[in-house]
Amino acid sequence: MGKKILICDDDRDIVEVTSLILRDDGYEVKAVYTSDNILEEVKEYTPDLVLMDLRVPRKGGEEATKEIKQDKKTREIPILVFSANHEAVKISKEIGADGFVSKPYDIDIFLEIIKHSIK
Amino acid sequence: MRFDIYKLQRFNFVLDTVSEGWWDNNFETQQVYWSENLFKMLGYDRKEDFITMEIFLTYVHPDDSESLAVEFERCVKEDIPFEYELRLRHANGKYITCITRAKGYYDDNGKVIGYAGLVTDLTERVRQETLLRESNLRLEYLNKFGKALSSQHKVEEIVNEVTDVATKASGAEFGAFFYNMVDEKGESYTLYKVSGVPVEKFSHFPMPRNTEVFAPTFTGEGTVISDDITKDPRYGKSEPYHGMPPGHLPVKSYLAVPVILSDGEVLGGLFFGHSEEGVFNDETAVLIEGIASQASIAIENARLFTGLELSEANFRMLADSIPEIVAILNKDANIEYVNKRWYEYTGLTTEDLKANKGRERIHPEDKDRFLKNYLNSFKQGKGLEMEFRFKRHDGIYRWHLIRTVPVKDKEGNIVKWVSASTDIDERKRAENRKDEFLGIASHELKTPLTSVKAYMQLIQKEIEKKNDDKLAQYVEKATNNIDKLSQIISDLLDVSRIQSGMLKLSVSRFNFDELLDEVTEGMQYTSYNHEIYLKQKSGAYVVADRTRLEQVMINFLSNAIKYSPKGGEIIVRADVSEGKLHFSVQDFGIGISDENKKYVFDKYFRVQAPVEEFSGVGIGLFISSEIIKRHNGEVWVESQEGEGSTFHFKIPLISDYG
Repeated sequence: MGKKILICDDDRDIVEVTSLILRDDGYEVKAVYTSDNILEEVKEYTPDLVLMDLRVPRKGGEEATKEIKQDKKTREIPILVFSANHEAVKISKEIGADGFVSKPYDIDIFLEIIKHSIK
Repeated sequence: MRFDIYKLQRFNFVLDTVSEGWWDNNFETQQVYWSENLFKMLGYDRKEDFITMEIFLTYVHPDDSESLAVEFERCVKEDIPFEYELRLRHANGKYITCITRAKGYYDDNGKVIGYAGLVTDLTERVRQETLLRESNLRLEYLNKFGKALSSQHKVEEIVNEVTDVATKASGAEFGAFFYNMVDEKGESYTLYKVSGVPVEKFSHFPMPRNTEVFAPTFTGEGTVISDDITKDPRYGKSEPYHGMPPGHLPVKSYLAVPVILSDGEVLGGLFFGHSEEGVFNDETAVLIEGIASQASIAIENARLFTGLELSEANFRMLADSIPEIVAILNKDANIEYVNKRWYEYTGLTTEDLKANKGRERIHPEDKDRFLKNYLNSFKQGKGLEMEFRFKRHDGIYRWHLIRTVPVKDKEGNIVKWVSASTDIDERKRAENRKDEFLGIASHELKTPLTSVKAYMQLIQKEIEKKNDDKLAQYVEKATNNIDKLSQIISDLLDVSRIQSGMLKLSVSRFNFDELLDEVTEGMQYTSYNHEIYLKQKSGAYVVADRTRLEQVMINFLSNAIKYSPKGGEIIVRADVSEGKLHFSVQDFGIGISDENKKYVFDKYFRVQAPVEEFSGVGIGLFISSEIIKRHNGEVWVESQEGEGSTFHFKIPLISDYG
């Protein structure tokens, strides 16, 4: 059974191609398009890693990341900020994320970062 | 006793050789003897040797004769020397002041038989004494007058006072002061002030013109004095009146003194007239000349004062009309002046200003930086420019740009500071909006690009499996251009921020070698045919913006990769010397020509040859150099065309990025 990754991003094209790439590499992937029930989703799916877009609708990726990181049951799960924001690096540090993948990404580097972060 | 005439004649002879006259009043003979000199003194031919006391008294001024007789009797009675000042009638009808000193003479029994004495003409001495006394008084008066005048700063007031005083002092019936003024357009005109007569008596007459009588005064040639101006050869020569205009006050005695300023400019003239002849003499002229010179000093001072007042008024008007807040500080940095805008903006009062309340209006987050920069500026005597938030009267903070420059004297010493503060809140907001817009735009552009790039890479991997070289080449080019586009979008935001001065550093202390490892490792992934060789590490911690430094290092490395298309080694070095971190990236690629070297850090520069292969460096190096500059560091390049380039940067390990 492969490692589980939860993608939280509202851009369906990105979700589709990223899921494809991850599945090809042997991961199990689930995608949510809003951050509304993020904590429940994480608790239910129990992913090994969360890819979090910052501009995901409603409360946004920053708030969602903080929620996950503040809950005892979920806070150990690594979260990578998955964003085209020019300040993604800075923001990811501020909200307590474990790293970031900037969009657009290079597939090889992307997979390397994922692998590295799940360990 | 017998009167010894011979003795007397001998005596007479001696006395006549001295200039004074003498007399002898013999009580026994009841005769008064006048010497020849005494008659001469009074302008008479000698009439007779002996006269009676009654006749003598007819020569004495009527006001003096009675008291003289009384005094003489008293002296004789008391047998004391007689001394008396009296006026004697001269042949020309005028009286001359004389003094006589006499003593009694005695018979053998010691009885007084007569008095004999000398008569001295006092007129010359009296005149000299009077002159002296008067001129002392005059001097004193002039001084007092000058002092009073110098406290006057209005030309008109001075003119009024001078005219009144001079008219009185000269003994004239009327006086006038004609003076030239210059209006705002620079045109001169003549004003006048009269004294002693109502102004209406003058107002319908034309201004004195450059006639022969007036000319010496208006050209500043000198004083004109005349006992009767109507008999003066210069009088009555000019059209149309040939003298005074009809109805003019009758003038015989005439005195005119020019009023000349220190630069030689003739301000005007003081004119005095009297209907009688011979009222003004040389003393009057001297007195009036004194007054004229006091007047010219006072007027000159008043003009200077008015000039200062005017330039001060102009300055205030200017300072109050501009939208900037202006302050003038003394050399010790205390505020001396603020313009109206300051009061309007802050809503504070003059008392608040004195109590330094303005300082409390600086945003708490900016205050330390503001005061520190100010202190540095004053210490170093250098101008200052900074942005800060300044609280308005309604409690709202607005961004201001303040510029302060030192004002120096001829020797280069700082005497003042002038400070101007501009409200740049709107500009700041516009910049923020632009920044925000570009941030959103770049995000929105990158989102679809993410999918495109991912799919492109998937396609590439599929093609590689099928060994279709041609398709693989096409796809690779497409992928490269996606990267280029992505880079341009990122750079766009940076350039905009650099241009608006908003490229902010987020400074922290970190291990530089860790960053070095990350970057070299990461960049190695981007190229298969280059070997990135980390030859030397710094062993240093730096205080800097980690992300921005990383951006520069990636930029250097990606350029090295791009500009060495045949692959090969790329050498990365880092070391520390003299408190500075030195980083360099060396490639063995195409290099840069000497001509192009100076432009590589310019905006939009790009190595020209061969365009298709190497396009896309664009603004990366410009951004890198700006980032390093913001770190108070320097960037440079060493390069040989055809042999490769080395890009360097050097930054202080610790710097104040305030």
